[in-house]
Amino acid sequence: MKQIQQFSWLCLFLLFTHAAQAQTFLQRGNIELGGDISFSSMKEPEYDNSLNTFTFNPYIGCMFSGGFELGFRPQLTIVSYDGSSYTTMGLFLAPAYNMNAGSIVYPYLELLIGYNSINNDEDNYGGLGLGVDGGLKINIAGNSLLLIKLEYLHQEYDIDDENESINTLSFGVGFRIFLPPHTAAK
Amino acid sequence: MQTFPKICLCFVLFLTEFASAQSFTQEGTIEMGGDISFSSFKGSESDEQLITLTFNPYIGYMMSPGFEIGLRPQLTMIDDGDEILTTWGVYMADAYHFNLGSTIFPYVEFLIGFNSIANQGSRYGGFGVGGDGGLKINISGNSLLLLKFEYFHEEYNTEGDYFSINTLSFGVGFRIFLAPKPAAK
Repeated sequence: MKQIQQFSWLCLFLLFTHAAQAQTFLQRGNIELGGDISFSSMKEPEYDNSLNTFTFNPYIGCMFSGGFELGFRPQLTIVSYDGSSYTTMGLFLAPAYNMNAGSIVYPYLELLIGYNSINNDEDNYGGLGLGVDGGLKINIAGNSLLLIKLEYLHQEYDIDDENESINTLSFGVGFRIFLPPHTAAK
Repeated sequence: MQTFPKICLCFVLFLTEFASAQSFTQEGTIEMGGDISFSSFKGSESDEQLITLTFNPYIGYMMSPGFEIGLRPQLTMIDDGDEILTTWGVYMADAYHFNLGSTIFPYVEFLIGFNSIANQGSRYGGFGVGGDGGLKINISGNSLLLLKFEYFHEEYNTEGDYFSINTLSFGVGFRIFLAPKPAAK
C-alpha cells in the first residue's frame, strides 16, 4: 500500500512539474516515431553455420485533434540457422488517447488490434491479436519522449482447427521522438 | 522497493535540467538511447510461463566537440520455469563524430568490455571488443536517427574451456540528446 502511495505521489509530481513549458506534443499533425530495425549474423569460428536474425519493430503514429493518435506497429522477427528459419509477424493498429495534463508528462492509453502469425519451415499459424497498453510519455526536452509503459497482449493462433493463444504482460522503457508538421513536411 | 520512486524522480529531474538542443557535438551534451523491458508470456494450453528481462540502455557524454565517452550495459534474463539463462555485458564506447556542418554526423566507435553467459550449471565470461560506425542524423530538434554497422568479437572461457562469437550487425533506431543549458549571463 505504501508503495502504491509513493508511486501515486511520484506520478502527481510529474504531472504538475514544468507546467510552464511549451506543449507541442499534442499538436495536430505531429508524427511520433520509435522502435528499431536490426539485422545480425552471429558465428562461432569452430562451426560453419551462422545464426542470422532480422527484427523490424518500428512505430509510427499521427496525431489527430484533441490528443487522439492513430499509430501503426508492425512487428517482424526472422531467425535462421542451419537451413531452417522461424518467422513471427504482427501488424497492429494502435489508436491512442494522450491526455493533456498541462505539463511535460502525457499519460496515455492505447488499444492494439491486428493480426499475428508464426511460421516455421513446415507450418504457418495465424490469428487475431488484441491488446491494450498505457503509461506515460514524458517530453524531457525538445521533441524527445521518454516512454514508460505497461502492456497486455492476447494473441490467438489457429492450429489444425484448434485455437491456441498466448497472453503477454510486459513493462517497457524506451525513447521516441515526435516531429512537428513543418518538420515532417520537409 | 521504496527507493524506486525516488530513483525515478531523481532521473526525471536530472533530465529536465537540460535545455533543448543547441548542437549535438557540443561539449557537455548527453546522448541517450536503448530500452528496458520485462515480459511474461503464457500459453493457453499449458501452465508454463516464459519470463524475459532485457536491459539495453545507452548513455554517452560529449567530452569535447565530437568526442564522446559512452557506456553500454547489456542484460538479458530468460526464465522458462526450469532454468534461468543470463547474458550480460558492460561496454565502454569511445566515439568520434565528424561535424560536416549539416544535420548528418558520421561517427566511428570503439567498444571494449566484459561479457558473461550463465545458466544453472555453468558460467562463461571473457572480454569483448568491437567497432561500429555509421550516421547519426539530427532529423529534428534533439532527436537522432541512428544508422550503424557493427562488428563484435566476444570471448568466453571457463576452466580451460574456450569459445568465441563474432557478430556482424546492422541497425536503425532512435536516440535523443540533451544539450547543456547555456551559462547564466
